[in-house]
Amino acid sequence: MKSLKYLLISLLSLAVMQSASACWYDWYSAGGYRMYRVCERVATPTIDAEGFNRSAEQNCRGWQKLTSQSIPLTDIYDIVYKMPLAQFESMYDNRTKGYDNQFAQWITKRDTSILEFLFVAKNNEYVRVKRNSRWYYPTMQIDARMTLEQVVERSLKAKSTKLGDRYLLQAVRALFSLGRYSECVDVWNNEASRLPVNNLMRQLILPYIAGAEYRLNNSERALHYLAEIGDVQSILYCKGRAGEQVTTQQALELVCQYAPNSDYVVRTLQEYVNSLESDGAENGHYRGEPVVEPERCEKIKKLRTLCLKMAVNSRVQTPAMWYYTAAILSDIIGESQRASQQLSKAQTVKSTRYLDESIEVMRIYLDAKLSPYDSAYEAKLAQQLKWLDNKIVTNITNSVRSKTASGYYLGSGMGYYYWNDMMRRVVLSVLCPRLVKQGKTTRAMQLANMADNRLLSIVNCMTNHSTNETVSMREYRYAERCFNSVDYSNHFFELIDSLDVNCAVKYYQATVNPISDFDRFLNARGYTGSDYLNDIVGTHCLRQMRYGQAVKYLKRVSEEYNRGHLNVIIKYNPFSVTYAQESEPCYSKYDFATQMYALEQSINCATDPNAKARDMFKFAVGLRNSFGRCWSYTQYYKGELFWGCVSAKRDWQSDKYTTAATTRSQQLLQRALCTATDDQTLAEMHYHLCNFKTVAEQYPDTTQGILVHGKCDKLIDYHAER
Amino acid sequence: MSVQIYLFENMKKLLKLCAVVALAALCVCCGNNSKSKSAQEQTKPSKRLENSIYHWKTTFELDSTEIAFLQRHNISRIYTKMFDIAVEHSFVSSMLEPVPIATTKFVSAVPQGVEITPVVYITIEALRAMEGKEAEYAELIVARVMAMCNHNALGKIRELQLDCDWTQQTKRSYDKLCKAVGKLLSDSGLSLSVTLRLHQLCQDAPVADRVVLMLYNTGNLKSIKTKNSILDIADVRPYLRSRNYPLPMDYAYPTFGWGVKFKNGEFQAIVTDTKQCAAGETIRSERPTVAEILKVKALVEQQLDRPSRGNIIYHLDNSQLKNYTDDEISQIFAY
Repeated sequence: MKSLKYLLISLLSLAVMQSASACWYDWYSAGGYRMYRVCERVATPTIDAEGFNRSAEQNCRGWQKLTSQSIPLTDIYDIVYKMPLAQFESMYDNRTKGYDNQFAQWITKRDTSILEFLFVAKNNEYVRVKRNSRWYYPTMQIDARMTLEQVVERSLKAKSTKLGDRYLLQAVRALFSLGRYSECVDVWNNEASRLPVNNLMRQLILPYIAGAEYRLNNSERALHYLAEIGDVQSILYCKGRAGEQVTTQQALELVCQYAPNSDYVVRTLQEYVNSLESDGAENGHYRGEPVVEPERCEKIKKLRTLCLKMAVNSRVQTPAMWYYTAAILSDIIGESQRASQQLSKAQTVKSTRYLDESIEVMRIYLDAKLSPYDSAYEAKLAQQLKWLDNKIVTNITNSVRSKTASGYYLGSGMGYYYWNDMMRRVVLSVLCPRLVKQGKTTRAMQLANMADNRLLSIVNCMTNHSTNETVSMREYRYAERCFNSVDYSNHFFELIDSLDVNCAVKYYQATVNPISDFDRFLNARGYTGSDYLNDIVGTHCLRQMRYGQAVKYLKRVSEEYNRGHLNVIIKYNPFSVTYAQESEPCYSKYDFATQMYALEQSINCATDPNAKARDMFKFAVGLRNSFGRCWSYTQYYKGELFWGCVSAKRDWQSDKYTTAATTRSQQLLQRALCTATDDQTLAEMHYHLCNFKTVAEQYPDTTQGILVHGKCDKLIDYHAER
Repeated sequence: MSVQIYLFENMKKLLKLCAVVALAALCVCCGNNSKSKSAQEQTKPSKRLENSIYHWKTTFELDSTEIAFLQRHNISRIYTKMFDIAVEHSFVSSMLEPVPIATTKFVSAVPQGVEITPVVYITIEALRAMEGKEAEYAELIVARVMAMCNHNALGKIRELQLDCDWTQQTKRSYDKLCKAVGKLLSDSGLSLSVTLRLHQLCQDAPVADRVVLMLYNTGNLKSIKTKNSILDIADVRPYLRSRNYPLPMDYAYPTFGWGVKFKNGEFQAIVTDTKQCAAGETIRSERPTVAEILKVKALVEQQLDRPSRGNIIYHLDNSQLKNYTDDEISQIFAY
């Protein structure tokens, strides 16, 4: 009873452990790579400093251009943003002193015009912050060296210097705080509006001008400026709808009404459409193809209506963006044919180079979805993939390299490099399933291999998480200290491992003897290591009990690879009935395959029934163990060693191969018992099968019979044999 | 003897005469009350007591009726709420920060002969948010109040009052704030007073020069079982124990009323119209009578002493004060 309790507790803990270890991190299906791209996503600031944001970074880079590229951004940030007025004034008064901060050194020694400007700007901000404080009350004393009036005067005088645009911003800020709104507007009309649209100072001045126009009762003009900067809350305020909560769709509609070409529209579309695309998150469990919920579908349709309206709006400068957006939205809700038509329109109207590339990506994707897979399409696909591959190679950044080397992003299927993401989406979510369905498994595997390994082959290094070192891909794949979490948990592996062994063999042949240029193109971009592929095919053969074939492939796997690559160690003797752990791995896959093949041959040839029965018995035990405690002969994952998205889709415990092997093993055991004629042989077999009652009753004079009677007579009482 | 010295000497005589007359008047006014005082109390040196009133609106705009009221009742001090301090999300830091809200707008000039005592109400949330930065906020409070007084020509300011429903948990922070405010004020020759709620009476006195005990809002407004949440002697009595409070103390009495609306026994709102009542609703009309106020007054003076400077009524609003006769108001002010 006690043992039963222990057994139950052990089983329960095992069950808990298995489900917990399957949830190491989220992973994403390839259909979840976000395709929509009308502008770059907001980059993470390069400096990890409090308050450091996009515009601060842009501004610091501007200062870098005006001083020296060798001055670190942090030095600039520390002086421009972080240094309090009192400290700055002390620096201003002590210019001859030496400073560790390179920007401080530069502006006190080499270009004091910047020091003068920052003196004005810091005083301006100090006074403005005081005045804008909720605690401020008119007549409160503000102890600054300059008044706002002096800031205005000095800034307007300096407008034609190299810091002119920066002085204009200071003038406008001071004028606004002083309530001199019409002068703000004058500065805008006469000076600031002439600055280039992408000038940061112009962008920073604009909100003040919108506020000034509103206070001058020029609401319409204010609305245009506010729309240009995308200040939706202020637009609502100007329209007498202060505090109203609007949806993103409503906000877009509002802004489009006044400034359809505003940067806000582009940024909001980027963010909003991305949120409407499925992210493919599987949260530890494979959930199949993403489903568009009714609520999301409604949002998509609403936005599509706006897109189609804007696409024909004469004020719109890039109608291609709107048609492209409509196409993306149509595809999300499953209207791919319509998406293709909308995309064709996008390809004929005014666009930008950036958009053209996004449109091309979508065309590749829609072609993959809609074109019949024939030779004409394959020729087109080859060209399209070459274009995409070129993008992958030429746009790679250090950040992409380091993310790739971490293994996490690729492994989890999380998007991080647009070009590679798109190649993977087209290949893995569209082409591979289609090709597998059509029986073109070799092409599917070639494509999947490229999708998984192209970036790795470019980066050619990987972080070995167990030692936290970065090693070359060759070392990562071969060195014993490296745990290979890449090659046996990607989409290619999933494909080759789940298809029939004949498909795996065919694929192997295609890598060894490529026929077309496209074969060669794909093979060159995938990982086709002989050891890797032979090991997979050989393991496949073992799983399907094709031992002769297994020997052929496993023989080609090098000793070095055998030693280093395996994620699991074979601890047990596969032919042992008992559960004894060996001190050294005794049988490699190849050894096991050879033994099994030899036993198979022997069973077929043996004439002595007892020898035949013993071979059958050994074969049956080996077969059972190769799916049991020695499972790594036939598969790559089991139990708590499940890894990544591949394993979640597999039921290793009861798939057809395991069932077939278990059945054959049982049948062979029965046949062995029926075949043997010798009592000693039979007693041995029954003893190993724990049939102690049979051994004791039917074979009392054998070694095992004597053992059971003499030493283990109690076994009969509680053994399950009836 | 120069003309100035002559005038000065005459002025001194005149002041002495005034003091005698005032004392006589005070004796007449206090009539019965003073008769009941102990002999020891009667020998206390007489103080000049003053009538005061709270002004608790966001616009300081006195109409002629209110000005006449101040004159008729010789009100020489108006405790004027300048602003509240509450917490709001800061636009800059996105954190909850104490900020001044509901700043009073001054439209009317301060009537002649009236001294303004600026009052700042601090919410308990704001007090909590000030923790650790009390000195910083003390500077902001004093600077802002002084700027408001100067900007609006509120006359010579001698005192500033803080009003806060602090608790035992927040007392430490409140003391720090009071200490910092008091220091800033004393450097300019000003004093600090604070309001005191009944439940605060049993705690150590705040760090201030004087206190005003608020004898209103004594009950639980939101409970349907409450008889009168504005003033009920039964609510007051348990808090009063005969003791010598370590700080000079004055008393503020309510001269206002309202309706408290309940629906199915649940509190809904404070209403001015006590007649509009829908199905399932009840309105509890609350307005302390003069008799009730005087009872409380007698109890307070018996237990705690007479006011140090004088009595105060809450608050200067003609729509409320019209519910009381001049005689009734005089009785509340009387000593």
